[in-house]
Amino acid sequence: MSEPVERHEPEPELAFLDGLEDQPSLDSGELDDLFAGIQGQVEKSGARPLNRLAEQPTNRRRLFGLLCFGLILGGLGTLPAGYSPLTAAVVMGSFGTLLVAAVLVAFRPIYVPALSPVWKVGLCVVAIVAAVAVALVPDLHHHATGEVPEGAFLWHAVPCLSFGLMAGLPGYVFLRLLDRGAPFGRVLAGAAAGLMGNMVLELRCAVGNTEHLVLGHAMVVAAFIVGVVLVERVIVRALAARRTK
Amino acid sequence: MGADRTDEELMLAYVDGDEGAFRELFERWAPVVHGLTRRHVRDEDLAREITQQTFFKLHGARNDFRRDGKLRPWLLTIAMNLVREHWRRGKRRKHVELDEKREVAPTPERSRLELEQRAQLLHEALAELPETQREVVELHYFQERPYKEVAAIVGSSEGAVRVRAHRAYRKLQAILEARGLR
Repeated sequence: MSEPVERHEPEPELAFLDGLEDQPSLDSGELDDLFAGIQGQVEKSGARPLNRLAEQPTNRRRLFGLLCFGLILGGLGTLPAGYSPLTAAVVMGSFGTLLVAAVLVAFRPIYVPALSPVWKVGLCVVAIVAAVAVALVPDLHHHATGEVPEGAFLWHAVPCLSFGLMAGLPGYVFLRLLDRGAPFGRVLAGAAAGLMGNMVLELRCAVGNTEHLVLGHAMVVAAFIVGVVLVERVIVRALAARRTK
Repeated sequence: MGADRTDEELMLAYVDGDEGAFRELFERWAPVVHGLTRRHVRDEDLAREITQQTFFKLHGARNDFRRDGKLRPWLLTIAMNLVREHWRRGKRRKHVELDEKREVAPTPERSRLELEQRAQLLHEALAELPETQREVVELHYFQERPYKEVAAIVGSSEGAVRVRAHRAYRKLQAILEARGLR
């Protein structure tokens, strides 16, 4: 074993623990069995070319993830006329910051101490709250002059909700491919993709009704975190069940 | 020649494609990781599963390993994260019934059965500690890691880890004394 000098000196006050420790338990045959199991997993993982993405160094995975979202935003978003720099700073800045945070946390490597689940769930809750808050502030939507007929908010929200989901979906799929199976990885990828969908809608949709913005835009984040994540879970479980048959 | 190589040299060799180096690392560290996880989850099968997962995760993260990196904190952190994840998911260890008779002979020469019983009592006492204290005891006492390294592994300050360890040892001693072991 390397660097034995770093081992701590036994402390006298811990003498009460002497003689209580476990006996060694793994013999060489058991070690062989365990290693064979790992080799099997490694080979199985190596057989899937897409798994190479998740094996990329963490900084590269983060960069790839953010680049993907950058490409989506650049490809689908067009700066609307009259869109003020202040609005851009507040809305796009807050959504962008949350998106970057979600990607960084989602790709936090397993060899550093895990963040508490409270932080991860909290980040997702903040993403939903931020999306709703932006929708509820009329001053941020002066550039959006389109109106929705009264009583048709739900109907008019559906196309935006669908578009937002479709805009975020490639990013979500790509983040999942880059993920190494981190806890809450799905939920955080959902939050990031939802924020992306929301940003694209912010740049494309000309409707400024609060009801439309809440139902058609802000709900994209919630729909991703809850809906898409659940759908992926169902698909993954179904595929796993089919493989074991 | 492999026996002379440090953990870090072996890991770098594995990153460069030397699969034998991974096997060597496994043989060095699997018993340590297994002992660590078994004390936490108190389930032999689960401990083996977490040991396998630890090395599989190490394989998955191998391209993150840097030339100036240290492997041991990596491995122990992966194992501790997997143990925490196990607890988070609410999987509870199977309760292992103890023999009713817990008296321990005062002689230093102890039978294998006695040693197993004493180890079992220690397991039970450890289980009564909060998770945050248990992991510190595990790394500091059982893995013989200095507080500074323990702090890096659990993601806390050295001072906080020392306080946690102090409380944990006091509580552990009280539990063991209450059970007549000391």
